[in-house]
Amino acid sequence: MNAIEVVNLTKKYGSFAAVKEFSFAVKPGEVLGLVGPNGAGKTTTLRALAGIHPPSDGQVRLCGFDIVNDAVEAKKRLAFFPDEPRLFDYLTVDEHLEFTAGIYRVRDFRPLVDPLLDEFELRDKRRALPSELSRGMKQKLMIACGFLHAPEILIFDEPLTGLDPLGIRRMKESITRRAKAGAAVVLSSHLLHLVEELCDTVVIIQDGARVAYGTIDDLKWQIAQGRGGVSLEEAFLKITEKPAEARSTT
Amino acid sequence: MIGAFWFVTTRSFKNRLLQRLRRLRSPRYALSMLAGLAYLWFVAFRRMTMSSSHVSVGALPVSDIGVDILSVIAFGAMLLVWAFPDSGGGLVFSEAEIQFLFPAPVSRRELLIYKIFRQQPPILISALMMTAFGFRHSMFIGLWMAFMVMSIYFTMVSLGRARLKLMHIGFVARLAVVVVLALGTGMLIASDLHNPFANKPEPQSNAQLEALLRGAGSLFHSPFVRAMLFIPRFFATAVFPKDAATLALACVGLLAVGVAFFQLAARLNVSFEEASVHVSQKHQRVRATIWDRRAGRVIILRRARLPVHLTERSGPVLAIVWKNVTAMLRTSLAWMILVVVVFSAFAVDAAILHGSNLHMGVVAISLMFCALFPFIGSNMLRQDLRLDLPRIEILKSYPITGERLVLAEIAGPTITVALVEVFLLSGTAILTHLADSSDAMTRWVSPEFVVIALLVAIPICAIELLIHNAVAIILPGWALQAPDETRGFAVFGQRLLILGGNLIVLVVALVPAVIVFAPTFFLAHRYFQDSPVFLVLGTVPAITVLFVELWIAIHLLGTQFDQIDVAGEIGQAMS
Repeated sequence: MNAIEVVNLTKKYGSFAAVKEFSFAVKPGEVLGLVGPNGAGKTTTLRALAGIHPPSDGQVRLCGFDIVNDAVEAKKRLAFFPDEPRLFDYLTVDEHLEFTAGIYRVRDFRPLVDPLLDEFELRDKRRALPSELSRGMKQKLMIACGFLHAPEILIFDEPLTGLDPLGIRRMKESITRRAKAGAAVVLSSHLLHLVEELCDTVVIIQDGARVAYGTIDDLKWQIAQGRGGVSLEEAFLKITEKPAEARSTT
Repeated sequence: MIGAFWFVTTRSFKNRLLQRLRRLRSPRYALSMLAGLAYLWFVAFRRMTMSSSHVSVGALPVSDIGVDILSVIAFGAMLLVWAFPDSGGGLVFSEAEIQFLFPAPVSRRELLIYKIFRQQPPILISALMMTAFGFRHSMFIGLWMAFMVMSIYFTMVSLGRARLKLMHIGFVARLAVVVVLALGTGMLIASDLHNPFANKPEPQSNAQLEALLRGAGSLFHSPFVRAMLFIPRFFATAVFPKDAATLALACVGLLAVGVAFFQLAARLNVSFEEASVHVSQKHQRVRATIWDRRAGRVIILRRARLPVHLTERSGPVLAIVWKNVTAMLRTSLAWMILVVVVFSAFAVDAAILHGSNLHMGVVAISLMFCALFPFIGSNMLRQDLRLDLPRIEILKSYPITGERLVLAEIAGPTITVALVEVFLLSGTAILTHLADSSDAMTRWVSPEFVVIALLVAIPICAIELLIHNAVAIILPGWALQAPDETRGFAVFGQRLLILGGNLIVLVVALVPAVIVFAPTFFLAHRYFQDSPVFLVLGTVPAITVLFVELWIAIHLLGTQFDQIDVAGEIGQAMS
């Protein structure tokens, strides 16, 4: 069974369709990269996946639960990481984890806290308030909170923004480890080398519509047409420039 | 370069104005703008037209005296800025201005010109507002010129202090000179003080008052004082001109003085860039702190925490209550302690005044405070959706329905207000019983009364909190204003509408409870007057109505919360 099923997802703001009949699926253990130019509809798609705003049309199912009709059950299995970490100003690092454990009803969460704090190098900051943390540390805390309830689905919006090189390496390791443990991961990023390194499949979105979907090798092959040696970046540029050319000729 | 400065100033002003005007297409913003303008009309313009038709100043030389006094104030301000301790020469620039202009090939002189350009839109608006609110004689141009030249002067003084520091003339020396000058001028004016007022009877007529004012005015016209006030008088005359000719003369004078100040500032050639970065950062920090304080986000007791921990059985509702109560301990506990201390002071007063008439006065004040606290408390404790709105993305990704989330968000402040109310009511009851037992108030403030009052206070406080949270849910753009969006007619109108709406909703919410209360209390009074259950039977039905209303409101607001479009108004407000 697919962990994430998106079928003909459409999100409209008034008459403007930010996402149009967008479909893809992610299996447990799979990492899917959502890439596209600025304003393509990536964040809108991820927010719809996380149940932050309801789709105008189409369906989003997480572990078999509809995000609109069975929102609570679907969200129990999900962790969403927005691009901008917005923490509670008046809770310490430790208390953020305690609060998250309460929200997701995590049984016996205390033994889980120290390994997470170690993983994200926050152990010596456990009594610090968000105002005492750098942006990168806030991002790490946000991710640590998301991992606490061992979610089956992880949704990242630009996960590496604000992290230092070591933080980026640890983040990549964390995502890979959780995917290997069976989590379905969707991540959006402009860093195509990261997508190439981490993702099994890629879906490219432009002007709210899906313009390419498949494994990275499939996409490269499709673009290279047997020539070989094409990077994901070249494939992406080739795919996303086509509609622009089409527009300029009409 | 000046073309570029003109472009950025006018285009920014135009775009800001257009953005505000475009927002008026939304009925809620149009309504708030109308409310703001209506208030302005009633408070400023209408009063102005009424005062001009009914009140005449006649021949009194009020304008002359106004000019004299304002000249002295302007002189004082111009002198005082030299005594400011800062000597870095830093000028306030925005982060974008620092990033774009400081590394650009722009000379210091041009940076100063830019600074003057960028000061114009707020100066224009201030001058317009002040003209509307009463300084009509300046015909706007006088106020604008006065503000503009004064701002150039302040810039020059800021750089002047930095230049003096380079010449090893520090704060103490500057302060000493300013004090000597201020004292000298004051003494010169005071030495003439006996002349106009000596042996003068109290003015009985307009003529006598006129003579007195003319005498007072002569204080400022001795040769030395006239010389000291020569430049300040330009500012004062521009603000309080006698006629159009005086205004024109003052404006020309100010223009000449402004050019001179600018030339001086440019010639000082102080390296103000680094200091400006520090000053600008400090300015931003101060603004952020003021904003945080206003929003109730400033942490006072960093290490305060609840003595209980969450478990897996707690669930999302309790987790949110725990979070909000923890936040309250850190941000508002000090205020709560203040309330308790003030009340305790009342109690001590009452104990000291035991037996006197003042005792019952203190009790009456305590009772009034108890009645008001549910309303005050809901404004003091903002640790609910009002503060969580910027984190709405995360809130909406939690496995909890909107209804339960709204319930959880208002539960923390409600419980806290209820606990303080228990303390206040119990204290008041004890105070009352310390008084003369024959007093009617003593009979009323019984233990049953305390319980019933608390039962009434809890839903009323919850309703108040719900109304505040409803604004955050239904009108998130109004609740989530950025620090630089806190001024203007529309924002002022929003506040008026929220205040008015709050009152109306509260009254409407209380009406059904009052309708139920009247007959049930009458019946309880008739059949159970001497029974201890009288108060319970009389009030519980009304309290039940309030709780039912609360339940319906929480359900409706929860549904509304689920439908909030994060990308819409909230997204715009947060970006």
